[in-house]
Amino acid sequence: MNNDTAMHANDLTQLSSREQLSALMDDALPADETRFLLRRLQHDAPLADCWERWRLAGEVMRGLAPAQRLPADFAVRVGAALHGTAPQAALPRRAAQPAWMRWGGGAAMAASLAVAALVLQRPAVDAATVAPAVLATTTADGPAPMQSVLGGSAQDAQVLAAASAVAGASRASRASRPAPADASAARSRAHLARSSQGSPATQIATAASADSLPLMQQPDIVTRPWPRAVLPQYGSEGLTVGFGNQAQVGYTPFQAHAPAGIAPVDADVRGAALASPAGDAPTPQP
Amino acid sequence: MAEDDVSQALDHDLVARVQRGDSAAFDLLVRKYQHRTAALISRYIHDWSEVQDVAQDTFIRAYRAIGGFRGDAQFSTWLHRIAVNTAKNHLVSSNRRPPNDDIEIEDAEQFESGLRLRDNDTPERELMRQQLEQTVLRAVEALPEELRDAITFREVEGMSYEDIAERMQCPIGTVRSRIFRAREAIDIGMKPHLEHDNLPNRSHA
Repeated sequence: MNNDTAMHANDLTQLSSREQLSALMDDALPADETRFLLRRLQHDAPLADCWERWRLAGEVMRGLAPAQRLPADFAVRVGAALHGTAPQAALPRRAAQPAWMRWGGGAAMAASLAVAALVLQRPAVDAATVAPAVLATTTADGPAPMQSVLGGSAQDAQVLAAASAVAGASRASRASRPAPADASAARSRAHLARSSQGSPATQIATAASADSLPLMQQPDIVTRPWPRAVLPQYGSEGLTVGFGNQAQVGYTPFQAHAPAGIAPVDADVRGAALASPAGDAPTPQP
Repeated sequence: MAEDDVSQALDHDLVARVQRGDSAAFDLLVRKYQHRTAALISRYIHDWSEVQDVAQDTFIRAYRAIGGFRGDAQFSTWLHRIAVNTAKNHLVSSNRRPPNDDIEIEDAEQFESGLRLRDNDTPERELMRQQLEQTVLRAVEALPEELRDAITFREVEGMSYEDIAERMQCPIGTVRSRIFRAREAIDIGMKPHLEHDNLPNRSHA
């Protein structure tokens, strides 16, 4: 019963639209109703097809029946070509393109993929070439061209040789491993370079750099640790923050407690922290 | 014979809406003139697939140039000129010579002459046209007299609703309803014929 009522209502709505369409065809529809009907025609293909058939019937009655009719979706194709709502390949295009253009698209796609692969590999190559240079700079305290310009002595030549040895050792250790392809691999190489400071070549380079400081005229770079690193309990934690450990602590609002995972602060350290100004040693935040 | 006054007024109203950015109005113009435009182009180009391409290019050019249409001429005449020029340009671009003995731009006002004076229709096309005409005429003859008179006054004589109401001595609302019911009845009789023809004609060259 409900379905019949709904279908009857739909039929009435459709009938009204079709009657409005008939009036529009005879230029007898008011402007406002024409506007609403045109808006509906944008989404009502059967109604637009009805317009087309009525127009065709009128031409037949006037003795102007076309001998051959366009496809039923011709107007849709024109609209798609005008507004780009659908591919224009609907109409049969006849051999308008030369043969090389058929596979030219595939070749262009393959070339673009090759370029993309090269671009993706470039950061790893750059990291591999930059890391030894950085290492040599930090261990020898100055690039080689600067030393040659300054006219270095035999001591400077030793520094340069030591830096080259460190760079060569770094390259050898890197060659024994698979090539990394991201920034984390570059960080691991830097860590490896730091760990290689215990080698004899690095010790020589370090001693030579200490001797060549007056020659190089390099300003002293003092690295200041993060204030939290001064506190012993944050020596290895860094700036990591954990949230999951808070649930293990019971609700004790009147008792001071340290966050879970942090060792209890010694009494002397706590006293030193209380005695020092707040700006020098900030209190740990949970 | 050109479009009647009612059809011209509708065309100008739809063109004005297209110029204001209403794409649905241009879709109605395409559906109204697509078959006549294709028939006109077929006088210059005999390959049906090429005719479809040129007809599509014609409407694309018309849409892009419709902002400059001021209504000095009929829209059908203006569209006719674009179709003829597009067809001739298509022939020139493909190193073919346009026919000299065909209709010229100056004959654009005689839009329907391009449809009546056809000498290149194949017997198969002529048969299809006659079948469609017989289908429609049978549907019209089967209409009640008041519906048949109303649709004949409107479609064949080109009369307005007011003139038909005066001729038939009935209200304009009655005329509108009679014409609508006549169109619905003709459509019911014509629909199976069109659906049957559309299936094999989709890719027919």
